[in-house]
Order: sequence, then C-alpha cells, then structure tokens
Amino acid sequence: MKSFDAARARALPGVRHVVQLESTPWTGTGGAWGVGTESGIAVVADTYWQAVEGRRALQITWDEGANATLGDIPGKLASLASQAGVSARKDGDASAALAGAAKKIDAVYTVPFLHHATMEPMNCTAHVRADGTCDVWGPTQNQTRAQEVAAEAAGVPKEKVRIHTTLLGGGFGRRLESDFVAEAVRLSKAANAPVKVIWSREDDTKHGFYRPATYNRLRAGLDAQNKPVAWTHHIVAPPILLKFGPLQNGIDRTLIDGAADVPYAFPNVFVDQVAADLPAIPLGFWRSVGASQNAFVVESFMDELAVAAGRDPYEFRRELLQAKPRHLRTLELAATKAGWGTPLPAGHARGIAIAEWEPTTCAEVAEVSVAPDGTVRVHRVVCAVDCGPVVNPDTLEAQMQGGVAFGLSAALYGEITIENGRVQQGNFTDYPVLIPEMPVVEVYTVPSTDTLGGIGEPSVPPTAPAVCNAIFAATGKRIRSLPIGKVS
Amino acid sequence: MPAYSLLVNGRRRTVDAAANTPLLWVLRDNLGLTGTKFGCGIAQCGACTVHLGGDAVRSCVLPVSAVGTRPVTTIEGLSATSTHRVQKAWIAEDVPQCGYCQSGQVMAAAALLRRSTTPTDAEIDAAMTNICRCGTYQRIRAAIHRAAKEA
Ligand code: FES
Ligand code: FES
Repeated sequence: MKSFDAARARALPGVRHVVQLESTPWTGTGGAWGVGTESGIAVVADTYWQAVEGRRALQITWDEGANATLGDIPGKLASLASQAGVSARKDGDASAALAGAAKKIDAVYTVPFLHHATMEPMNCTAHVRADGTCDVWGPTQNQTRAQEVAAEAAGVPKEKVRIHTTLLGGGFGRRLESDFVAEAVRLSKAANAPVKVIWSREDDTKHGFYRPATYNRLRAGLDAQNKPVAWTHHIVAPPILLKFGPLQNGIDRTLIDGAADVPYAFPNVFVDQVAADLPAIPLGFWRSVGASQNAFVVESFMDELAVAAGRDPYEFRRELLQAKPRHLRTLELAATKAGWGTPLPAGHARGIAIAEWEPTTCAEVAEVSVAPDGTVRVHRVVCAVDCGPVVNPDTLEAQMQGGVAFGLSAALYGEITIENGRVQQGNFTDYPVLIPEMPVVEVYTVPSTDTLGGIGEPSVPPTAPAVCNAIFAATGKRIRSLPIGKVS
Repeated sequence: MPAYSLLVNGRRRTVDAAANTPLLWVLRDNLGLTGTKFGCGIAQCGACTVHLGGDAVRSCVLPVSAVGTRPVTTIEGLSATSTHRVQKAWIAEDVPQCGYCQSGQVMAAAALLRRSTTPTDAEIDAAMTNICRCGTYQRIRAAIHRAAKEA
C-alpha cells in the first residue's frame, strides 16, 4: 500500500491498535497451503463496529502492485489452447479415429472462477501468550494445518498451539485453508492480547480460494451407424495443486476428475491438460472440486453427441454404460423416477446428466422452462444416488438437496471475475446465490452394497449439465459457458 | 457515546454505542446475544433477522438510534424454553445443516406465521428471502407448514 492514516483511526472511540501486516509466504513443509497471509491493515477495537469505523477512517491509498494489470483470464486460457497438453488418458488412437469418422462434432466449453461464499464470513480468535502458548478458536476444516500455520505465525513450537474448533457456518472447502488463522494469530501477537478477527462479506468474497476457471475443447466422432468412435477433451486451466509444489507428471489430478475417467464405452479416448500458470490467483477445493466443472463439460457435450447421433440422450448414455453397472443403475433410477419420456406441461423440458464422485454415482433429471425474457426456471430435480450402504437416510436426503442448491447457484449465477488485479465481486448483490428459485428436489437411493462413498459432494456436479441439457431440450439453445444467466 | 435504553427479550438494557451502530452489533458485542448472526451487512441475507415490535427486521442495517421504544426479540428470546412452534417444527423436520442462517430463518418464519396463519408455498417463497447457502429451503417450507398446523 502507498499510504494510510493510522492516527485518524486511532483517534476514534474504542480503537486500540492499527496493525500493518506484510504478506508472508508459507515457509513450512508441504507447500503453500494457507499461503501465509496477505498484506493489509488491521484495526483492532473493542467492538466490531468500532473497528469498521476505524477502517473507514484509514483513508488507504493502495499500491496496485505487480498484478495491477491482471485480468481477462478467460482470454488468457483461450490463448493457451493451441498448446499441446500433458496426456491424462489415452485409449487407442483418437485422432486417427476422428479423421476417419463419418460425423464429427467440435465445441468449446468454459467455466468461471467460483467462490465458496460460506454463510459465515471468515473469522478466527487467537491468543498468543507471553508464556509461549497459543490458543486458537475458529471454524476450521483442517486442524492439522491450522496448528502448523498458527505455530509459524506465533513463532512457537506446534505443541504449544491448541486448536479449538468452533461450529462451521459452511465450509465447502474454503475452511481447508488457514489464512484466517494466521491472521488472527499475527494480530494477537502484535496486540499482545486475545484478538477476534471478523472479515466483512466483501473481504470474504475478494479474498477467496477460487474454483479454477477452465477452457475446454472437445471433439467427438460418430461412424456411419452413429456409434461413437472417438472422444477428445483438451483442458486448459490453472492448477490448484501447484501450491503444494511441482505437479506430478505435469498433471493436476483435480482438474481431470470427471474428464479423464469419462465412463462411456468409447473405443478411442484422448484427454490432456495444459497447466496455465496464474500464480497470483489463489485457488482452492470447492465442493466436488474438478467434477464440478468437468461434469458440466462432459455431460453437455455428451448430449450434443446424442443429438448428432439422432438418439434420445438417456438411451444413448445407457447403451454406452453397459460396462459400468453402478453408473447404469443410478442413471436408470433417476430416469424412471423422473418419468423420462412422459408428457410435460407446455414449455417444460427435461435434461439428464450423471457424474461420479468416487465411488458415489449421482444422476439427475432436471425439469425446466425458459420464460420469453430468457429467465430459466428449474421446477423439479430428480436425484438418484448410489453411495453404497446408506448410514443416515435423513442426512443423505439433506445433503443431496443442499448439493443441488449449491450446483444451481453456480450454474445460474456464479462467477468471479478479475480485472486490474482485483476480484470484481463483493457481496450477495453481485455474487448471488439462489433463494426462492429453489426447485423441488426428490432424492432416491439405489439399494446397494457397493463400496461406501460420500454424499456431501456428489449431487453438485450433475446439476449444471442436467439443467443445461433441459434448456437445450426446451429451446434448442446449447449453453457452453457458465453461468447460464439469461438464455438469449 | 450516547446511552440507549432498549427493551430486549423482555428486559430493559442500557448500552453505550455510537448512534449509527447497527442493532446487530449492539446485540452481539454489547449484550452478548450471539445467536443473531452476521452474513452480509447490507440487508441481503437475513442472517441477522430479529423482531422489532413483532416484525422481522434485518438488524445489520438498523441503527441502534432508530430502535426507539419498540421491543426487540432475538432468537434467545423467542421462547424461554426453546419450544416456540417454529422451533419445534424445525427440529421435527431436521432443517439445519451448518445452522448459521437458521436463527434468522426461524425469526423470519415466526414473523410470517404471525401475519399469515396458513401460508402457501408461494407466500412462503415471497416472505422468506433469507439466504441458506446449505440449501435447506425445501425443509424450511415443510417446517413452516408443520408449524402452521400446530397453531
Ligand atoms: S447480515 Fe443482515 S441481512 Fe445479511
Ligand atoms: S444451514 Fe447453512 S446456511 Fe443455512
């Protein structure tokens, strides 16, 4: 930063300290999880509102820094698409098969950065004491790392740090990071007192660890009998895992989840990845991680392939999933319960999609209509899941419904954009999440003794493609870029 | 700093706070009533919903100086035994996931049921504009219908 007026803030009632924090890289072992802390100025006051008033009084002039011109990330990703990627899956010879295909289809799909937007903004309380002990009270998903980060920030051995986990007002992967823990510990040390850090919603939105934006080029070929002969998927994206050090074999496995393992019986498959180097943008694990974007890309393009083959999208998938019994029975249950193929009210249409969040499979059928002004309404989502033996059916239903809501918020509205080195969104006004548009979500479980899997994440990935495929069925308009916004 | 005399959950409380301090932070920081949550600070999410003279208000944008003589009820004061029919319905339907939005949801629902004894789904959707990032909306609807039946 260039300048700020600490004295003006200090003169206000209740303000105790104005602390300038330099950014600190994480220097511990195991990579940069938590990335130390960002630089900034903290106002420590008796109450939150006094701290807010103190912050307003600071009159900060920022130095825009090394990333002052960072922007247009979608353009940057697209410009890297001509590079050859690192192979993530290679079955047969996809390019030869494509060259000989009777029908070829080719499309580009893109998704934006996404924020977790937990209901409870980041916060943490810490007390670094003169005797070299440190207590941390905070909503963390990652106590081990929180302890390491707190120890480094306090300058004490790990054994001297006690982490007290408070209830989490949502995590979704954001609270795997420990940046807010380091901040509270550093401020407690500076103030020589227990300090509770509360971020504003704007701080929270602008300082996230975002789901990566990705660019995807897909090609597929059909033979004269409309059978698929080749499938290729070229992914350009900034790798999340780079923060832990160099990528293993040049691949970020989180970016190919749901893409390299495309479940359909294609004789020739090629999936590759170009790692876009965008080190200034903090990336993180967002509920369902790589599957969150790849299910949209793969299942939408799969729909395009079904259309090109002149086939019903459900029957087309079924035929190609004969060797994948878990996928098959999940897909069939969703289609049956949704009444796939039965008549709907005028203007309504269905879309289907399936995804795996290993080893759980989840298939969804969405029923949508699109108003003349392009507004999408999702009326009903039928969700079938095979997570192996069900431990708590009530929690399963709640998590499935919650995952659909999470997936719908992202599909309809979610987008973080970066211009001039800054995140442009700040609050629920420009990073909206769904409220009354919540459709009816019906949840059905495949009776299964297959491998036990999780249920917190699997219903997120199929939501966007099921909705987008339904939009295509209703309007003939193919959505290849999220968020959907209005259908024009 | 001015002193304000507030009637909160049936008790007379005096607080020293700047006039523009939102009621939310007076409740949380001055009175230690932390059941009311902070989500956005701009009246968008409803996490901070309390009752003011019986109506649901978003306390993050209500200056303490604007409260006046109207009684304030927070989630802590909705029922002395946590057995308000909305709270019972919430438990029966197992609504909360992370729980962070839920005190605001419960307060909004209790205010809705005071105005409208048997709200339809459409009325619920129109009145319940509180964000739940965990997506508990379907069970919220069910719990409101259940609470309405118990009246
Ligand atoms: S915190 Fe008051 S409406 Fe969000
Ligand atoms: S239960 Fe988590 S935000 Fe509503």
